[in-house]
Amino acid sequence: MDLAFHYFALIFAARCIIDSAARTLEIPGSGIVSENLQKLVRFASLERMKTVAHRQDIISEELPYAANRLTVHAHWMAFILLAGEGGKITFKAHYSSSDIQGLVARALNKDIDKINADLIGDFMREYCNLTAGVIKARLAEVGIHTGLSIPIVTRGFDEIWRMDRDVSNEIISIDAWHLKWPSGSVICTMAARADVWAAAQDLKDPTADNGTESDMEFL
Amino acid sequence: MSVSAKIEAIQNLHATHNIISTLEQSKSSIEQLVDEMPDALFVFDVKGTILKANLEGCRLLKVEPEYYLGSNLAKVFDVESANILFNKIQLVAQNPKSFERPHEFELQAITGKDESQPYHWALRPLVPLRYDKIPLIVLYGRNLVDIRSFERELSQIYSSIPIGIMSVGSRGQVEPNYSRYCEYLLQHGRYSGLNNGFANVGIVELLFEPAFVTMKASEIEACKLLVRAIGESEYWFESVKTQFPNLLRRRVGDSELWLKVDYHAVTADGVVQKILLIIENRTDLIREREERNVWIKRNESAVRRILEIQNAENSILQGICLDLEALIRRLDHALEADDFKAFKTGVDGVKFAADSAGFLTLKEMVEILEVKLAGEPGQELFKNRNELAKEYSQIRTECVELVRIFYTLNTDDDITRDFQHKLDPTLYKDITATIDQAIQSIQPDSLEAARDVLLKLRKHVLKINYLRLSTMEPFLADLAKVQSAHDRKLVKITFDWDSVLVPPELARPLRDVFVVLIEKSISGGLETPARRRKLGKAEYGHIRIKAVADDHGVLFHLADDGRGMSAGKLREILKEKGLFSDVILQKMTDEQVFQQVFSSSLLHKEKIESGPIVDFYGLKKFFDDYKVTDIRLTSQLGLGLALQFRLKSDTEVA
Repeated sequence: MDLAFHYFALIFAARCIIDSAARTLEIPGSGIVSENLQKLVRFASLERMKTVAHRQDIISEELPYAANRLTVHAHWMAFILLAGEGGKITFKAHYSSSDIQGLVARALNKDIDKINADLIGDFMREYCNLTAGVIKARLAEVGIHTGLSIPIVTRGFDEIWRMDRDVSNEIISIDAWHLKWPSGSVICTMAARADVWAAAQDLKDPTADNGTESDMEFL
Repeated sequence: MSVSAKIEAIQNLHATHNIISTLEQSKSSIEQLVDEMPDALFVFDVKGTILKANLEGCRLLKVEPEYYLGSNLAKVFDVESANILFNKIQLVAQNPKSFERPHEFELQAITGKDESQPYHWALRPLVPLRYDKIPLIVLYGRNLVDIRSFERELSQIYSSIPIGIMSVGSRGQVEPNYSRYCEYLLQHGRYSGLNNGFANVGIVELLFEPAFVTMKASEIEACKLLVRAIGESEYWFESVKTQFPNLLRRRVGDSELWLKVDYHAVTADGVVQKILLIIENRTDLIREREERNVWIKRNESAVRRILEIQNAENSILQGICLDLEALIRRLDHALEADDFKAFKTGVDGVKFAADSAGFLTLKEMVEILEVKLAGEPGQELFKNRNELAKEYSQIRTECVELVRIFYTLNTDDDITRDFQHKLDPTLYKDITATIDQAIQSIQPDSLEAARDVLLKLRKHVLKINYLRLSTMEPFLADLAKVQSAHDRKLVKITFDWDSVLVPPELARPLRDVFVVLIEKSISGGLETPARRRKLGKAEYGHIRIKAVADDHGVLFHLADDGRGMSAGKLREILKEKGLFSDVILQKMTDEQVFQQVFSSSLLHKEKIESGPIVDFYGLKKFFDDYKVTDIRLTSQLGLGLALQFRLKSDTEVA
């Protein structure tokens, strides 16, 4: 059982490293989160999912979500960080293996039995990467330049560290939504430092934009 | 930003990415280890909402890997167990710092297939990471199904092996975990059937006390040493161990139980902490051994007797055997009548016979008895009559066996040696005449006559196998000679039964009947020669034995000319025994009084030993068994006594 404590200790150490990296960023004055930023992230998450999964029947739904409550949404979690001089956004996709397994099988045109945990992890990493890429590009259009972290897949349980961290770093804008398709779903969350994203108010409504979509495909 | 600064930033970012990748892999490995650890692991909040369940936990509880996420912990337990668990969770949540050590307990878990499985749980807060924030709790569960199964198997083995295993603790008390077979072996009136069984019962009381009656004083003391040995050095235990009784004889109900006990010390630092007892039931083994010893002894005795008979001079053996038979009768009677003098004389006779024949064992046995008889003055001996009877019974067995083996070895002189098969000329004539008659009688109208002839023929044919009474005359004459010599009397015996035949199965009982009658007549009826001279009688007492055969059987008659029997004395005996009132007895004639000897219950005995007829009780039994009729006892005081009886013939068609 000591093994479990080593496990938690390692997670704790990893979190500290991430935190210390985040604190190096410059944090400007206060402001409110842009509604368009919220729309942008939701739009990006939906569209990129449709793209990587090769299916158009995926819909986005509101998720009743209490930000101050400790919630482990799913067994797995893939996440990516956008960070720049203007601030930072964490995008997370919470999923169960069985839900994504079907998507991957369909995308790769393979039997579902041949889709293992590694493939599922790679799929979700790529999904996070593509979603964050869209957000980064749109932010750049309004002069907000950000960098992308590498996408990471971990256990959904790690979400329990979120509240501590969010509170400690005053990230107060949190959004959560549900992407659903007939055989499964993914819960997406976004955490942004509200005061630094005032500039994002200049963003256009991404849903009204019929501009070019990425042709990038998974794998 | 200068180019170099940008390059540095990019390099920093790249390095950060690399280390995050490394951490992700490392974390993934740890996650895998947690998933595959052999126990179930749950992390949940204070309301019991499961935030994490490792893969092994899901596998043990037979659910899909992500099944429990978001479920309440109550899903893993039944209602009662969940209540107990939540009570413990509250304790942990309220004061997480006090749980430095996990809180451990056992509870049944419900699998995804609704099976109940035993688990050992360890509950503790998720410290040191979160105890000052939102409390989370970790529950580790070790599946006990295999352990319980193994325990059950072990318990079954432990209970089913037919050996009692128990340990004795510091105060000499049985420790609770003893094998169930002990309860069968050590059935105890006080402790069997109690809830605690033999737990904490003193080993001396439980194991040894029921066997104390069969143990020597030294063995009883050794039992107490066993308790003292606990706490002593191992060396001391080994030195006294040999004194502990290792074979106990206990009485269980009507039977005996032999227990073999092995003692093993359980030591620590050279000091005996407890003693392990292994108890086996050896009853069957010991019984078999005893039976085998008896068998060996019996066979050894038989061989010895055969050798003694073969070594003896054959010419005198038959006479010796006859003497031994007569002596046994006399000794039986003397013992029964508490006649010490007659008993001692009989013993002398046996010794003389044994010495003459060279039966050394019999002689030794008699000599031992003689010493005991000499050691006790006269009548005093009979205060311990049972002991005397026991001693005598060995001598009696030896005599009977010697005689039996002698007759077995000399088949010509078997039980019917006193009789001889010889077809009687008259009988032969009768048979042939009857056959002729049968041939002549077979006419169409003479079926009735033919039937009569055939019945007659059957009767004659049956008689072919009959024995002549006269052939036992030499035996009876010898007997009379021995008895009269013993009693210092002169006797003349005459037989009048030449042509009388009896069925072979009656030969031995009839011989015994006449033996008893002749012995009684000589010892109790006929006077000594001097007395007879005084009375004006001939010196030789005369015994007449007569038998007459007719169509209804054989009528026997025995008479002597001795002192006879007093009707008055017989009346007193009948009165003393409470068989008749004085009034009735006075009304009876002398003849009627004599008749009561065999017709009343005067000679009735509840238990008569099987074997030869040795006294009047046996005679009465013979009369009853063979439905003897026409019994008539007559006597005239001073003139003698006569007895007659009729044995029915069995030649009639049933």
